[in-house]
Amino acid sequence: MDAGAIWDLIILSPMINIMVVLTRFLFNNLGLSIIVLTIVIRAVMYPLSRRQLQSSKKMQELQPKMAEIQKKYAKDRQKLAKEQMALYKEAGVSPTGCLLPMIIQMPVWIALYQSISRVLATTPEELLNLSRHIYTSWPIVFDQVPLNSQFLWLDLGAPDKIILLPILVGATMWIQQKMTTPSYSDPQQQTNSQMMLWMMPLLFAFMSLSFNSGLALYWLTSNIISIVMQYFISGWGPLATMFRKQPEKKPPAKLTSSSGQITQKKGDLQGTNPTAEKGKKPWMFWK
Amino acid sequence: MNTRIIKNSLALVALIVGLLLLASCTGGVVARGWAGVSMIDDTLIFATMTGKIYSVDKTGTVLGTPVNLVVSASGGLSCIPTCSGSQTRPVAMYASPGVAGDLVYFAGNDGRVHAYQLVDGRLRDQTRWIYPPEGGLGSVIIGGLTVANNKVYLSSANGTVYALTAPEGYKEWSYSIGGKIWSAPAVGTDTVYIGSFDKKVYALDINTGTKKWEYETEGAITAAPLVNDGIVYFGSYDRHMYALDTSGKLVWKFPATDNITNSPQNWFWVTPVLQNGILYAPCLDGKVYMLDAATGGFMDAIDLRYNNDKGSISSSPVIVDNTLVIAVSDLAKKTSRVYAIDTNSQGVKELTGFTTEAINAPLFAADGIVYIHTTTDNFYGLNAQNGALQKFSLTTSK
Repeated sequence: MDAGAIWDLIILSPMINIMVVLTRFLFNNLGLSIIVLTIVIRAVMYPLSRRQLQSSKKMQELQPKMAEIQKKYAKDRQKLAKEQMALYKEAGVSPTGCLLPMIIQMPVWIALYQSISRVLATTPEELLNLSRHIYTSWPIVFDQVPLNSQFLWLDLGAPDKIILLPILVGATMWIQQKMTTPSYSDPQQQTNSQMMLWMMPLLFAFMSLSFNSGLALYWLTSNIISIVMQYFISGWGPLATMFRKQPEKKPPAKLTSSSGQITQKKGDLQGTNPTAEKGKKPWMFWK
Repeated sequence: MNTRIIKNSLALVALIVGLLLLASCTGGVVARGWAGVSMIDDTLIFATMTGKIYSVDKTGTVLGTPVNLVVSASGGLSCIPTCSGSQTRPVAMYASPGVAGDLVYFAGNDGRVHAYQLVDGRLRDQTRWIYPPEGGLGSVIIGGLTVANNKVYLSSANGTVYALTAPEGYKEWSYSIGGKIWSAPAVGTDTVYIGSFDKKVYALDINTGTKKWEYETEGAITAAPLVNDGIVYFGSYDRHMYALDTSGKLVWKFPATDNITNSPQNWFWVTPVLQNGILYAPCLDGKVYMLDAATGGFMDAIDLRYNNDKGSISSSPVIVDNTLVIAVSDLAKKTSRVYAIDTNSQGVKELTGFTTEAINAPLFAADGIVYIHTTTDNFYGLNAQNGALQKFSLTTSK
């Protein structure tokens, strides 16, 4: 038996059949089934997700110290690595702590994603392919397929024509990203993270425009669950600063050094943009 | 901007896109179609998965220039395997081309019917007519078309049945069922029969399209019904084969069950065939159920699975004299075998096998030769008696 057949047998086929049965019990509504199955799987995976988020949070908290070390040992890579490991050890953080839970969860996400694609069966090829995964011993499954793909205003087997779903996918992903995007003291890292803050939501919004709505609904549900989980683990994070009343800025008299460079102190303003320190034009994505 | 940042960001985006495509493409299927073969005046008509239509003589010589059927591509990531870098994609067709007089008809997922004239065995490059002339039917055509009584009958996937005049392509009538339709219409004496995703079979008046009756099963119906001697035979996704009379009353129904465990099996995906009072009902479970056409009584189930019980019958079989020719495919491994079943003795003989090709397209027979279109877009001619196989190369002469 090859790897594909094992994958189908152990992961994909069970998930497809569960989704079909769920649809049957959720008023023959595939949209509800996608939402409920996503919630259930996220709930089952919660311990791993929590570990991943907590580990990620700890890593963020270490960023200022990490930046100091990087600055201090910029020219000695061996020493830098040693100091970084020491810092991780001291803080009780594993650098792979957020990676391992993610890797463990990955096959489940891929299977869920594939299951949604398969049960939608928008072409005869897909429907024929779906017949291979249906359990002959589960009588209610056979009569149920092909599933009704109508949900609210959506045909789950086609992209959303009024583009509301792609906008929601992009917006929720942005919120989720914003909640976890820290401020970096390293200007390059800061620019990089800000770029990703926008790039990922835009990418997924674009994909939601061309992929079927069933998958976009899964992404939306998953994003909302991530936001809720993130909130309960570490609060609103950097997102909260957006809605706080910003303190009035002091006149920029102290910001200019004798050399004419901007020398604003770190921490004068929350969410300081470190690129300003070097007099560079700041990255404007988050404005 | 710093080149390192650009590189890192692009790498991350590429990784995400790659993962998504991997997830969607592993087994994810793009509509390519599986058109069967037709014949008009000794000229074979082949419609490929690349949207090309060839007229070919029996020796395999391509006559004239193939017609190219394409549709504007909507773009987007999900269609990368077929349309990246191009503005059009081939029209996917799931049924055999229809023929009447010197016209050949095609319908596919561009939502239009195309009529081409065949002159001296060559397809004219200009269409005789297209229906609808502008735009499309608002939906793809999966079920294909049926030509009878100088009319072209077809259904669009959004649930509307159409009758067009065959020579000109004018609409005679249309009837909206509401449920999704992937079934081709079957034409009786005065009635058009069609199955739907809404689990019903509909009988429509052949002249006006008005509904005469409907019959509800417990599963979707995607194969065209078979009409014979006032009985309408069809299979459903509820794993039953049905026989109705022309007034819509149930004559009999038969469940596709395993005769050992008595557990229900798979869907009836293709149209059954009838010979000498026996209905041969192929099922996706890899068996052909032999039923008494009059009573629905079970006679036998011929198990055609191979390689550790793998195989589904996803291609409509044909009768050649006293031989039922039927293809069985392992859909996962993309292999297939073609069998001949003697309709007198029920003896089974393997005619040929393909190690890298499955068969979903309906088989077509003429003059003792069975024409096969495989999933790798190859066309073959198979002698129904001795299994001799001819592959058509489809290279156009200079």
